[in-house]
Amino acid sequence: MTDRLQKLVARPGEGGPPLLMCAVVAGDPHVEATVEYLSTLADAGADMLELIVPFSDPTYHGAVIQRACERALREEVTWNHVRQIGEGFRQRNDDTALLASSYYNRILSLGHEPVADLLSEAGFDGTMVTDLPWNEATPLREALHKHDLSFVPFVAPTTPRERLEMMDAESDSFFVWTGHAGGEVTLSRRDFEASMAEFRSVSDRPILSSMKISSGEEAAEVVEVTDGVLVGSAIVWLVEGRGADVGDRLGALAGELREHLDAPPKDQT
Amino acid sequence: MSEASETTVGEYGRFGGRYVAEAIWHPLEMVATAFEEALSDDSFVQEHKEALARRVGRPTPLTPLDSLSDNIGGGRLLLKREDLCHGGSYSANLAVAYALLAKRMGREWLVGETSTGDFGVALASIGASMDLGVRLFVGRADLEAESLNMRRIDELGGVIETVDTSKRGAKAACAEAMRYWATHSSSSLYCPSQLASPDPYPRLIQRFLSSIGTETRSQTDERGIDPEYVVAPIGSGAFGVGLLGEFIGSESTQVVGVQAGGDGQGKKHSASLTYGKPGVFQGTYSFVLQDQNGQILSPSTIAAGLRTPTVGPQHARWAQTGDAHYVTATNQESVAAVRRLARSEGIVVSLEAAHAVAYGLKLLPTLGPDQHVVVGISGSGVHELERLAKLEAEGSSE
Repeated sequence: MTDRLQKLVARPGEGGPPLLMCAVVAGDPHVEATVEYLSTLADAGADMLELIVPFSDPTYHGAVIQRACERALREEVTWNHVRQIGEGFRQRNDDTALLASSYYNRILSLGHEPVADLLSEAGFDGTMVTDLPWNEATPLREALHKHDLSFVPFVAPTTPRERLEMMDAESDSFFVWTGHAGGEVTLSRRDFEASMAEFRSVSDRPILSSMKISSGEEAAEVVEVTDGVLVGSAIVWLVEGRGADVGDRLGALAGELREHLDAPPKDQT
Repeated sequence: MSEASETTVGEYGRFGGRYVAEAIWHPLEMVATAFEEALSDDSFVQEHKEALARRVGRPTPLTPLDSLSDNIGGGRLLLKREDLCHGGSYSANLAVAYALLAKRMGREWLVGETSTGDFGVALASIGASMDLGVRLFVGRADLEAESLNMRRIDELGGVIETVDTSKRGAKAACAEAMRYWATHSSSSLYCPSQLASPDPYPRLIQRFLSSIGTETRSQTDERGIDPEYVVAPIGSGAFGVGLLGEFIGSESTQVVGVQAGGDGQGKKHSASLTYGKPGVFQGTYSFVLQDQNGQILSPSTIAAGLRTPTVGPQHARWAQTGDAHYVTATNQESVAAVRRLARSEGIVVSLEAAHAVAYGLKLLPTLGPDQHVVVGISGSGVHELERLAKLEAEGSSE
């Protein structure tokens, strides 16, 4: 794990504020804009950023991110563009964690080692691969670990305890909870809380929840039982809306999320 | 669940695997376990066998084409007639197996995708008879092009979910079906028609369609024939794995898969084993039509059932080991093969199957009168007659 990520991952355990991770699609609408958006989100309070490297067939993403990938594909985003975005962002920011995410075929098109080399050189802290389950990820994980980069595992409502234990024992950083797989969130609040309690009984690592969160209030509710949130489609939706003030609107949403996450938890008594 | 079963995923050399979102890993593991248990349960195996006879109409005939063979000269052509299965396609074999497995697992719904509509009809038929709901994801372009089959699905009580895509072929529908299943796995069984699917489906499909190959073998044995070639059309390769699997490793029979060569120019085609390279798509590591950045390319062919950018991992493996040879037939050759077969033998096959027939017709003149070519007919072409007429009127083949 990079020092930067290590510091962030330790924070919830030390009683610090919940983690905020925001996602944008690389090259949506163009590469230079992506660097701007990442910087804006970081300045407004994001602790971690997910750079979605667009894939032609984003099977497990919802409609908003699917459309963003389509827009980005017109830019023909290559791994060199990913390098440019990482380097451009790091010229402005050294504290916010940056993770590249994609589908496995994009990783394979360059190769495990070259991807790990590139991400390390460009200032990334790790990666998430939507269609690469933990059991199939050993070659990529080994390549990443040579550079102290993390491979972040997902947890789903269908993940059994034995799998959680396996992933907890072998992983190094944090988890992302996916309450959906591109479709609607179908989990009740009670089931979600039960899942989080189960997770907590297995792992001390932070878990960030990705559940189509789109407002500060929703985020505050979710972090009552998790260590942070991953906000993707709400951010990408603003990018889709475009307009001259998209940067301001991104900053405003990230600021709202930050503010609600930092507010003291509601009195539960 | 034991640690061993968590890590045992179906692999074919370096191909295969289970490349899926975390949400689907465990549901797939449950299907894998149920499949393995079912196979070791004699009563399930017997029930499946009986269903193939009673519902699907097995055994299907092996039809010698004497008139056509005499006419062309050289070797003798025989067809394995899965077009005579219930519903007019080999799909019924798979649909019956899925329904029995779903019942065994206590699932109430079958969830799948269909592009030509054949698999959808098969699933809806068996669903209706076994009191299982059937939900089918279909691309908009396929829905419009296959209106007759879609009407049949509707009449049979199947629920059609339209997927917005302007391109024909199962790609987008597959993605939607799997996404849906991710959040409904406790009530439904995912029933892919595509061999290029995550484990356990490639091994499950091969096992449940293996009767096509074993039956062909015993029928050729009965006739005292040891075929020189066994030929199958290959889209994703489910039908092909069922027929060809039996002959892999045979010293006397050459195994051939025919993919869609499209325009024949090497540009618009669905020939992943000829023009693709290894990659991960639809949950499995296999040959994939892709660009240098790993983006999936759109396949093209006149035959919707062959229109896929990837292929089942068994075929990737057999292509690499040389156990099977993979060739292409063009749109034009396939249309000509449908016509020739119709006019000389009175058999109307699908455009998918016609790809294999086209290659079989090329082989005949190279063989002697004691040598035999068995071509697998995956489905009937009756519902394509209108389309053929339209193509002729347009003077093009897409």
